[in-house]
Amino acid sequence: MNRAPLLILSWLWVGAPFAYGVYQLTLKVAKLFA
Amino acid sequence: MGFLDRSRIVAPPDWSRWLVPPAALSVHLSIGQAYSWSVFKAPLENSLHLSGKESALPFQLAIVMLGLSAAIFGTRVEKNGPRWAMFTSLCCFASGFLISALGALTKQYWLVVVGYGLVGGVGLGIGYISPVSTLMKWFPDRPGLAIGIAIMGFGGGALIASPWSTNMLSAFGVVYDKANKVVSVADTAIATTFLVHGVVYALFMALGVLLIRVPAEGWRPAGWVASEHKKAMVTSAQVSAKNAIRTPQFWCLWIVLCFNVTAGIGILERAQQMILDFFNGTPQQITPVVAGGFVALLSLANMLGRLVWSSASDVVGRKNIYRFYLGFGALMYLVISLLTNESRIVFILCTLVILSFYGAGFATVPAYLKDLFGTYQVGAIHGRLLTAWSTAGVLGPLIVNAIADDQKAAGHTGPALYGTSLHIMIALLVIGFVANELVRPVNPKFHDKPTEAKP
Repeated sequence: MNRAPLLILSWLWVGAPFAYGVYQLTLKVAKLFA
Repeated sequence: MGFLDRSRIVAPPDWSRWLVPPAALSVHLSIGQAYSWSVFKAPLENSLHLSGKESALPFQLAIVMLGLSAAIFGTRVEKNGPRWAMFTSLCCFASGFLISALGALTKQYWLVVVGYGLVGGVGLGIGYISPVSTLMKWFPDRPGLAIGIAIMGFGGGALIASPWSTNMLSAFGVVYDKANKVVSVADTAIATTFLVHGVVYALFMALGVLLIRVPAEGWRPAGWVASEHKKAMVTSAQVSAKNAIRTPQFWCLWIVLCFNVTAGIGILERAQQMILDFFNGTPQQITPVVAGGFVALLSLANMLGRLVWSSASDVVGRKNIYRFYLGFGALMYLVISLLTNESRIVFILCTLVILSFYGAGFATVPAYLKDLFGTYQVGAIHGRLLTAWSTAGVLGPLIVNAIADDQKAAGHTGPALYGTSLHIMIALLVIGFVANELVRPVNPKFHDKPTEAKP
């Protein structure tokens, strides 16, 4: 059975909110060097 | 147990082991929310007329329950399997929010403490250890990397929850001023936020419950052969949780974890105030907004350290990497104590390294336990070891805050507030280094099973 769609979906499931968190973090870190 | 039973989640031969880390991450990214509890403090204080100490109670109880439930339920997690553990964690963590929502709605604060702290805290402990032994079995060639990914998720959980929860509180009726202080709180704002958190986290964690699989008996990664050349510090024997806590190795690692965490948490807990105090009145003085950026940078170092250093431990070995964490960490503290406020960039770099070692200490220890005790009950042994975390969670902030308060009362300012704390941290790291040196292979009299355990 092809597991690729499940792999992509599951990594997106956890990756998308994680990317949001890292983006919000970089906004704060930028202030340190502003 | 039907659907939750271990026998129902034995992976078919074509199952990809790369489906297991997202299952673990869905749980760890959720329960990592605990570290962002502070965003609820000010709205609760405003709404329910609480003191700062009172509003911290749910978080403190949750962390204590994390250590206790991991220690108490560790063996049951091993017996019942990861799907049962993840489902139990989901139920407790989500119920914690729902009970808290009821408490916030009815203005019964004790319900928030019991819900988030007690019930939710059990969810934290069981969830934290739920994927550990399963990941070890799927990644016998790279246990440090696999556990590093999952435990990095615990650090990442707060990164997601902190802005998300703040935005939601604001959307449901918490009004902030320009300095980010709470001005007013609508009647249902906190309750609705808790309710949405409970439902969303339950849905998010459900992926882990549905996706988690254990490898079939005898499964090995394609092309991977267990090394013929036995490494002295990596056992092929199995030790039960009951026997493990009777070994000196367990208690040496307990000291290593406790003091490494104490050294990191001391900085983490007071980071914003610390950098402000250090450079106050110097040409390198900074503003509270910039100090906030420093705290965010420390969070990033904490998170990345979990992945990078833990993965490196697969190559250099667990004992060597802890020599690095503890020895180099002590050196970084020494540099800070000698240079004090001469260089802001050196201060920032040193604290970043220390915080990366703090995170790495958490992420590498399950693989260290697996090397010493085998995979048989490594999750349960890990659960018992997490009592070191609970101890350090009290010890680290206590040392740094109490000494800073005393020094301030004595009229000192700037780096002088922290000099004694820095020296204590160096001493703790040196003791941890010695404890790590004392770790030797486990005496065969403690071995339980001659062969690999069932999956």
